[in-house]
Amino acid sequence: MKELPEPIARLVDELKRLPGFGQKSATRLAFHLLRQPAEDVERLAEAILAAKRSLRTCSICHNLTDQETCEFCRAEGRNGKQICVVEAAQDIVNVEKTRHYQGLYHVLGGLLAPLEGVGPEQLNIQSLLKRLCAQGASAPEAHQPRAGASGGEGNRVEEVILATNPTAEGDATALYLAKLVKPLGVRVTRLAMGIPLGGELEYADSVTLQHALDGRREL
Amino acid sequence: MPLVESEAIILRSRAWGEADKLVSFLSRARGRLRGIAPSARRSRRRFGAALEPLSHVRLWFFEREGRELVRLSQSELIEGFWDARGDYQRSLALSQVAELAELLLPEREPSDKAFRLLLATLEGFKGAESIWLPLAYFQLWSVRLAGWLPGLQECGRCGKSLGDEPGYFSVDRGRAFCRGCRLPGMRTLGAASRRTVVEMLEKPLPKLSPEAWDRRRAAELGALLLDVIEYHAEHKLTTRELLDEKA
Ligand SMILES: [Zn+2]
Ligand SMILES: [Zn+2]
Repeated sequence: MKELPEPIARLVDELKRLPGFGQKSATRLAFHLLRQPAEDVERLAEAILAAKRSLRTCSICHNLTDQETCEFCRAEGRNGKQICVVEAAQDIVNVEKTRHYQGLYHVLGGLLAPLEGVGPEQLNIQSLLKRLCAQGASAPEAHQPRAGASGGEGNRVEEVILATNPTAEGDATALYLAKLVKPLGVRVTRLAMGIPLGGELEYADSVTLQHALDGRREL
Repeated sequence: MPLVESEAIILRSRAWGEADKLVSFLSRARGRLRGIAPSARRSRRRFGAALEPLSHVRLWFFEREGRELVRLSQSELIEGFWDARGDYQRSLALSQVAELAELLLPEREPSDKAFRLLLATLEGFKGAESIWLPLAYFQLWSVRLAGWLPGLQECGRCGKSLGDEPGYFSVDRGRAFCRGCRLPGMRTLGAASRRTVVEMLEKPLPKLSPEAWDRRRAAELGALLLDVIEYHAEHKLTTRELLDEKA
């Protein structure tokens, strides 16, 4: 086959960096985009840029948001006694789909992965501990962002639910966190089986995930 | 496309594409390989938990002519060693074992010795209270199998036996020196550590007594062995720093 013209080859190269894209699918998508009207393509490019530029991470839980704090940390109705710890912001979407969880979240931003050089310092662990420690009477109100459910009296965190994937790395990370959190007098639980060992949250359906939440066990 | 069936130990496994896994493993029949496990993240039907790092499994895979990656077809768990990951330090040590195996074992060169070493090491971790003995055992034997083990019992300069004296070592010299011949910047390797080396090369892991084994000696020997590995492989070990920080 003849080589692709340089601008298309460049587009294909960029698309190939997206998860799930190989040479074939990237080429197919590139040609699809080029067949679209210019304004449609511009709207798409604009939407990608706008999302990237306006999104930041929540200053409390590291979820994605376009404000200082995310919708969950701001919401009045959430139960501040529970924090569900997930690997990535997209996992929150899956837990929310169960409509079974009313607590808050904390996004780790990855899992402990020594082979990839990811140690505790690379994850949002200190900020989680701070959230748990800052809840005593000594925490000055002014330093706590007015965040619906988090902080404040009567909303002491009583349970941390570890919802990392049931893989070797997910388990190792959960055990590591449990060791740090338990001495703070907070109950630590882990999602129950139902999610297959070796499976991933991303691919668990809502019912499975709901059972996993219901049957979570003490660590 | 011939289907191969082999015992294997999973070294590393990570997300690949939309729902696949890229798995690196040491097979008894074909040596170290990497392959794709299709849909392994979406469904547990074919692979279950049998692709988790450091699992001892029975594996079926297709070799594809001219392709670097094999295609995994099925995997059955024989024994999982991730239970051993009760604490973070242990998981770091196990990760180092996987990193060394990936780095030092050549691809597609079956070696029953290497396979048995890895399996014995994982079993050693499982029973052991201290992680340092199985870790040092694996480090030492990996260096030995790679053919990089330096002379540690006689002085590399004057030839005198080191006996009960400490030896001094640097990677660029490749041998231990005696006190009289030592050069600035060399690492010290005590007589006890050198005796341990001899013992480890003579006895299988379960026969070594963990009581005679302390953390300091492991650190002394480990540092030297990892220096040797990083020097010859021209590669900085990712897990080394994490484990040092933690120690
Ligand atoms: Zn938030
Ligand atoms: Zn000498």
